[in-house]
Amino acid sequence: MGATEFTSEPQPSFAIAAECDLAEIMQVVLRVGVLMLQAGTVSFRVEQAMQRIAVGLGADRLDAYVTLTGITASVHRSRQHYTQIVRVVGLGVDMNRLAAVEFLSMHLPENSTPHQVMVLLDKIEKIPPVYPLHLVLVAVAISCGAFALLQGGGWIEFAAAAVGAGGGQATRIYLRSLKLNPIPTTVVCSAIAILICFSLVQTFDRFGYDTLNAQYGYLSSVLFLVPGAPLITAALDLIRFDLVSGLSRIAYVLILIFSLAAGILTAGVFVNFSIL
Amino acid sequence: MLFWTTLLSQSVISFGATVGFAVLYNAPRRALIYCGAIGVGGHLLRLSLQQFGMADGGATFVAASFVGLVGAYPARRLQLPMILFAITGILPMIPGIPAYKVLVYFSDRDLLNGMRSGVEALFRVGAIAIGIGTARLLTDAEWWFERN
Repeated sequence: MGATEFTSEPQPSFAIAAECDLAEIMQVVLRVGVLMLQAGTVSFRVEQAMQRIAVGLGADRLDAYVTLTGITASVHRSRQHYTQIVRVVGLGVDMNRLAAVEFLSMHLPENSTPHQVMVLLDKIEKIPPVYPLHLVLVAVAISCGAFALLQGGGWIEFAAAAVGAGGGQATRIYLRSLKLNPIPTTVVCSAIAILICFSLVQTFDRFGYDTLNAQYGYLSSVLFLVPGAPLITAALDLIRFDLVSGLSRIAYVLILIFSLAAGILTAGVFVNFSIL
Repeated sequence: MLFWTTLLSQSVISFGATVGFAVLYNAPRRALIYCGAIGVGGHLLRLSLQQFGMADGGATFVAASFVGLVGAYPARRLQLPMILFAITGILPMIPGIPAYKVLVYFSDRDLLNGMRSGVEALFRVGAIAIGIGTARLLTDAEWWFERN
């Protein structure tokens, strides 16, 4: 018995080679997870895509613990395993990137190496936004204006909310390019949107187009800051009992909504609370 | 006549609102029309249920489930994440007015009305969450079964 153990001498070097391989697989898998989480999807989807990629690259199985701000994952192959943690910052919503990464995880080319997948992920990361920034600005403006109409406002509220939201979104694009924390970003953007909206309503009033429903305009001008996506993903996480992820998403939503309210109140200080 | 103009204007407005947010979320171009259509469907369903006397929470729940269920079709067809259609579809139901009223009343120290609006907003948000959750349970086996 002892002799057979000694004859399997080269095994340690195999083991080391396998471990390096697992580490490589892990880098790819974690990158997939980070990209998907930053694009704003449900934790379970992230886990699923990571598992598909890991198995596609030759691992036996992968256990991933995905939360909103970090991923812990262990990849297993026969008796080897490798564990790594990664922090996730820069949450947002990017459906095009999400779709691309998920599609890649489902249609991984046969016999691909970790390096090849990394190159594909590089390509996905370099895909420019589907819509140019000014188009996004117009879309946000129109859509917040439309919300003013949906809530029961008229054309004055539509115009005020649209211009306010456009100004706010422009500010947000600028602040985001500075990589500012989302909280001050939201406060500043909602204050600016409300102030623009308020001054427009006042201007209309000056020219005789007064309105009784100005609050529909104010509220709609900040709607683009409402974190709708994390709210839905929080619900889906909680239903699957991804409790940590779901609760942290709820906390994220609440923080952003409070920042939004803080922005409105800050604007209220400048215009003497007449917006309320 | 008034009915049809209301229907038409509500459809156009909710379509614009939904598609605008889909653009903000960087949705692929081929998904935009579906996002808009689902948004319109959910909004009209909710409005008509309310017209028939259904409570706000119930109507929102049914409409949100509808949005979640219908979203499975374009998701499968276009091979896009289902969540894209859920997120954009529920946007017209977001309780903007009650949430804004909470802020207004609380900053006026009118706690009673503030709480009332807050509960209203919470019920609506809860109905949306439960509706989307129900739809997901029904359309996705990974949610319906507990497995490892």
